Amino acid sequence: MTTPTLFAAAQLGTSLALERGDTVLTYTTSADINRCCRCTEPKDSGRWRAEFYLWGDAAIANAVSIGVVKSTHPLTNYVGGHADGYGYRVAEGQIHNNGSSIAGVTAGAKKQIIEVSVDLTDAGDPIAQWRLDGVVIHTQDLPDTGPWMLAVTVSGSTGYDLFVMISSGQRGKAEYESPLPWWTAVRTAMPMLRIAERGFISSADSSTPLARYRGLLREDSRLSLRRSVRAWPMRQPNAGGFSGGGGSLRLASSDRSLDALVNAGGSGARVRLLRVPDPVDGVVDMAEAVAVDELILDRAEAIDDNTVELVLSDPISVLEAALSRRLAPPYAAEASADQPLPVSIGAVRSITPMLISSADRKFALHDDDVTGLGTVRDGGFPYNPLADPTPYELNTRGELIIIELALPTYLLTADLHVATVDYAPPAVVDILDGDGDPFAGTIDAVPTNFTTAAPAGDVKLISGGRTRWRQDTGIETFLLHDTAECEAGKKYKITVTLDQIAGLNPASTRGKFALCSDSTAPSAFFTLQGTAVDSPNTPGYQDPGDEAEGLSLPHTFTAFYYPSTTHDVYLAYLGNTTIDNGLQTDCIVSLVTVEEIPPVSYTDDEEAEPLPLTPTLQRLLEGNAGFVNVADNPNAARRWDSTVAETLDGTAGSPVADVPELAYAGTGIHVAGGEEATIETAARVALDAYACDFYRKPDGTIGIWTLTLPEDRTPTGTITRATFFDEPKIRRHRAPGLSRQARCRRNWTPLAGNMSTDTTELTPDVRAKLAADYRIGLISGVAVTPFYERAAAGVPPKGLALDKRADGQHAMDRVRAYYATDRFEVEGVVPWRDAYEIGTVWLVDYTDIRDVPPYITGPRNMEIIDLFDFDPIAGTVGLLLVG
Amino acid sequence: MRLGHSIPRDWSYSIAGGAWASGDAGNPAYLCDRAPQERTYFTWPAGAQTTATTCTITATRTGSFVPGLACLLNTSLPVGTLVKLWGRRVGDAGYTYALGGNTQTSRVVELPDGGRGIVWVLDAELDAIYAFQVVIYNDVFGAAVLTAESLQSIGELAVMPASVIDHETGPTERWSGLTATWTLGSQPNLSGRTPQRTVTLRSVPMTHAEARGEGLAEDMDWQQLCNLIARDPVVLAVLYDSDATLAQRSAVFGVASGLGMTGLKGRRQQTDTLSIIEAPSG
Repeated sequence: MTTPTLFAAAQLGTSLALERGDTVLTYTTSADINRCCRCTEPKDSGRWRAEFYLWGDAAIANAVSIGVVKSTHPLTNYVGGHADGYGYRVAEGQIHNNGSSIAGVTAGAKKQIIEVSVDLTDAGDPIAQWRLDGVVIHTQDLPDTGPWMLAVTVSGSTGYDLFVMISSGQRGKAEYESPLPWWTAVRTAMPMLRIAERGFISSADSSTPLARYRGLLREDSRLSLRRSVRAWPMRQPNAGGFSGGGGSLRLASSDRSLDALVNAGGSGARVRLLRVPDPVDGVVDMAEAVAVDELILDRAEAIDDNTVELVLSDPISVLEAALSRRLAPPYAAEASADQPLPVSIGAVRSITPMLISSADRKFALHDDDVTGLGTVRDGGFPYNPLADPTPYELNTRGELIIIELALPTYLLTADLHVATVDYAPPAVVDILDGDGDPFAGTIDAVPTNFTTAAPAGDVKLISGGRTRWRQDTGIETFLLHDTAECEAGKKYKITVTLDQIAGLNPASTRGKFALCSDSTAPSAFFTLQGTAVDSPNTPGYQDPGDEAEGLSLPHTFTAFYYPSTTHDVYLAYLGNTTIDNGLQTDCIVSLVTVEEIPPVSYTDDEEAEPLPLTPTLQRLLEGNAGFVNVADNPNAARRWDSTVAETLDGTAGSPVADVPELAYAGTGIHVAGGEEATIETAARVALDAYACDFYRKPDGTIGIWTLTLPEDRTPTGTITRATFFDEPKIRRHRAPGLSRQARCRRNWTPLAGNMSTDTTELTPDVRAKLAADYRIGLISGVAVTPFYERAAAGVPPKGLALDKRADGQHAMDRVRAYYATDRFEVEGVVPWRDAYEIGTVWLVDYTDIRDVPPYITGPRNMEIIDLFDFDPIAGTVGLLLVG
Repeated sequence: MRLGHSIPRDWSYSIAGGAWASGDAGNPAYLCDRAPQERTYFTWPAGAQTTATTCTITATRTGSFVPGLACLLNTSLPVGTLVKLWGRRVGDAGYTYALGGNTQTSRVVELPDGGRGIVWVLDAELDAIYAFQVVIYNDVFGAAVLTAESLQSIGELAVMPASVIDHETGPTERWSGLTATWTLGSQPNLSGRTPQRTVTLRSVPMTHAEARGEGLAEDMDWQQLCNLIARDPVVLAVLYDSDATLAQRSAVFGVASGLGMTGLKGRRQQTDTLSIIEAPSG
């Protein structure tokens, strides 16, 4: 963890004060603007940024300035009040330097996020930049590379009435994503240490030539590494942590060469274990080195005067970190302020949004953009998203704003789906194929791909500022597109931009635009403007705007359309024109689009989009834990291998052999606002549903293991009794997580006790669905052997993080099929071979093993699920095989 | 036996002809780090090679001492390479002081510590030197075998004072580190531990003078020897120093322990069992 920038307590202007561990700046008494506080960590190179929150009761006019200064900028000037500082005067919308404005920019307000960044990488062109809510408002050339430090001015007439908080990593994720790193202290890098059992150097043609590997390993160094997998149903779902590996290495340090490592602690460094051929005259060709394992240095400790112990841990343990998340702003509702915002991944049901502000009726659903919002309910009673006015709206920061004047009466819940950055939800389809935006074709002819129909009007393409079509006089004119078709059950967004309208009879029905399903008469349409004449296919939507004459032109009409039957799309203009003024300027339209909106649940549970396993893990491992897909960068410090997950999803270009393509619709994970969760527990929820687990590959890459039938797989080799050092233990394999029943589609907040009293929408069916932990119950008919039959009854049903009934059913049937055969375990210690890897299948021939229980017959394929007591120094490893 | 002790470590090294390898690999500090396995690497001289081509490593320090033993351990030089050792006294114009023994004749041999090298047994009663020079000839049994600019290495290069010790009925030698574990099929699982010798010996009963009265050669006695070994336990023990071959086959570079003396009847004294645990080359 690097040290974030703070307000410097020793560089505080008069009457200014710090709070909350030097992250909040305020003032103690009536104070004018001529004061500032500088921050720690001055920089003269690199690129850095920090975010500032501004809130409080007082007005910010002539009171606040935020920017960068040099150490020579006096504390008795506001930021930018001196030649050595540049400050953003938030309320004034000005960038100040040397006491006056040098640029006019967008003015900000309280509760907006102000980001200040510097880019000092080019000493000839250093710049500072300000962003307001993620949008760049000003880029300022700096005279030199400083050193520059952040600085803030805050003031007012009554003390403690305005607050500015700095965030440069203290608050987890940035409010607005930026490629720049947080403005933090730079951690000194540790040089690479190379240690060997016997000293040697790498050969001159190795990738790192003539690098000395010192023979510092003490003779009492023992490694006990472990790699293992335990997926549901080999244990209870959502139970237990990763059984990762660890170990320790003792190094001789009497020459003090490891002191720097001990002083630094070295925590988090990568430790790669390689097996190299015997040195020839003290030289080893490192191209022949074989990766044995890769771990993370937990700590380096001095055991005594001349021994340093390296304690190693599994890279998977990185996932035990808190799910790094954005915090609710400091000015949020008291119970929510500074708490982690909720996190949703994939399709989640009945989550409770976190209250951000009751005055603004604002709730947080997620810590980032929400891809699709399903039903929003007040105590179970659904808001009608099509009502006029709209009952709520969603902003791009994952916040739900209730538009109605009243806050929810009961508990507010929502169904939503959230895709990751790399997962693209189905795109909007323009069913006019772009023909309406812009119109194209020959001047004075009907636009390309359109025709006009009876009652014929005179539709012509005209030139102009934009390419537009114009209608002459007439009452009803239809513009027909020759390929567009609206399908029943889908949702469409219609946009029409009216540039000009003239010559209408103001007393008549005036002009209307309509979408028709009949090419000859406006018999079935709803209007975009004006009074709804006929709306047989409601729900429809009327633009709340005034009549055309009262509009400021151009005006864009937007409507949503849900056809009950499949039909072609026709656009009609219905105008009662009274004049043809010769200019033929009755109506000019520049844009018509009809877009198919991807399905988002409004009423039906089945419409939400769960997220497949790969993007779910990607979000957790790459987005939260800093892992990189090994396919993208095989040398990254933290790597994971997505190939098995992609095969399970059915999206792998080249599927992994023996891994089934489940092609489940996907999963959903939710962590409520303010709740503690680790990346591991979140990932576990998804992995369990797929009968998967993480494991560490020999090169330290995190791989994904999944349950497969060993008898269907090709053994890597044979293991016999003679392989073992001592008699192996043979026993029944148990499956404590196996059951006949399961449930899926979780209600993250069961509504029992919080339900509205309404009975029309909240029928007993709906009430039961919302009150339960899960909405779907499953039972599997796949037979298991009598040994596993006890799982049929008396075991509580398992909850699976799957959203579709078919997926849940398949997951149940799949794991039970594994237990259609009696499974056994063989456990023993053997000489180490490189080929012993998690997930490899071996033909275990234990007919020569004494004490074989009578229920075991003949050789069988068994899969390694646990490598324990693995000591590469002694060359031994314990195996646990299941099959 | 001849016991080399108090091995000087404060040498300043230089190389002529060849060059140290780049970076830490060519750090000459590893020549006297007491770990023969950790080598210093250098490149052999460039150009046409004859048996007269040499690479010279020179070491100087401020203090002088009377040398008795010297060794070059764990080298990449092939068996048969001629290496000569010269000393330099205060006042000498160059590295011209002959140290006698096998210093002008010995060639690299396989040593029992798993590496190749040379042990030089020097003449007795030499003058004190403050510097020495090792001249490596591209002369492998009369042929120029080493190629120009090839990478060579030396694990340990030591010149040290030594004392001749009379001990009881032959030192005992034990080998350890040979670890094999066995599978149920009685197949060996060999781990890579380097074997290591341990030599144990006791002095013969000594007079007071030999024990504490400067009664050994060069005004040494056992008490002073224990004192020096206790402060720096790294020793080179040449169990049989009567000729160069025997000396090299019996030399053990290692760490001594078990210091102390026991009083015997008749005003005689005897050392406790002295153990020398080898620091092998490979």
